[in-house]
Amino acid sequence: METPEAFSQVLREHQRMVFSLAYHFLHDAALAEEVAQDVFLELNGKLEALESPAHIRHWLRRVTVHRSIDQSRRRKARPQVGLDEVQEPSSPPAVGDPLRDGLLRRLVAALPEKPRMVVVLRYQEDLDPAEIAEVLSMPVRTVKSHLQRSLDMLRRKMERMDGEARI
Amino acid sequence: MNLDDELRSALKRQEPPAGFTDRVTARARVKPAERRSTWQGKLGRLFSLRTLEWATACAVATVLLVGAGGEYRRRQEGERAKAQVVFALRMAGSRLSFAQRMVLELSSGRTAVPAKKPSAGEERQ
Repeated sequence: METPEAFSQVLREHQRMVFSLAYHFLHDAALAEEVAQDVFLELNGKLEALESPAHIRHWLRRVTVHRSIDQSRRRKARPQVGLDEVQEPSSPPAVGDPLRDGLLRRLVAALPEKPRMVVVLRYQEDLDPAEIAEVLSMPVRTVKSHLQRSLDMLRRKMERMDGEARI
Repeated sequence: MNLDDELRSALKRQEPPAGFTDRVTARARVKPAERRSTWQGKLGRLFSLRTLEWATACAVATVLLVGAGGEYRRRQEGERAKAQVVFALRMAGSRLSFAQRMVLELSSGRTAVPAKKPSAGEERQ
């Protein structure tokens, strides 16, 4: 299957998934593109060994997730923004507002590494906890726990912001 | 809208930056050897065919030079040994002739003062 046409087809089909996984995790478009390019270049040499479209999709998810985590660890030297330190806008955006989406993405980006990836896989890729556990090589119970705690934190933060907006 | 829906909206897939496909395709066209990281590239270049050819030529030249040097030294030693043998033979010859002269004089009944023993300089001549 390893032909330039086959590679181009896979690239066109999955580039949104790969780029978005890296982007939502790293919250940096340039770094996300770097990760996505590297993932596709690695795929180019392995395309022959991947047996089906499902296998390709699964491989891409796994490699993107791990490369994004590696990239995030490499830039650990930079100061990280904690969840409580994310600046709240003076007038919080309304539900469905692109600004509200942006704010939520920043809150997700401030989550710790593993919970952040769990949330991204759950809501970007619509994976269930068992699938997320397989991609991240962690127990399903841990995935559920990360998900629950992350949602509680995000909900509290959003409610606080909504409450401040009503006053 | 609940938090689940808000998260789905916020984390929906996005298009990569413009030109992404072209950039990936261009990098994929580059041979893997040229894409290697620095240390891998250096290692690869170290063992490239051209380098191996040069290394072989240098090794052969070194062996030839060392061999020629050894041969020259052996010849020099041979010349020196030959000169020493010639000198030793000359010395032995002059002493023999001196002894012969003495024997002849004694056998002829003459009691003469023995001829002066040849010096090293005379022997050499």
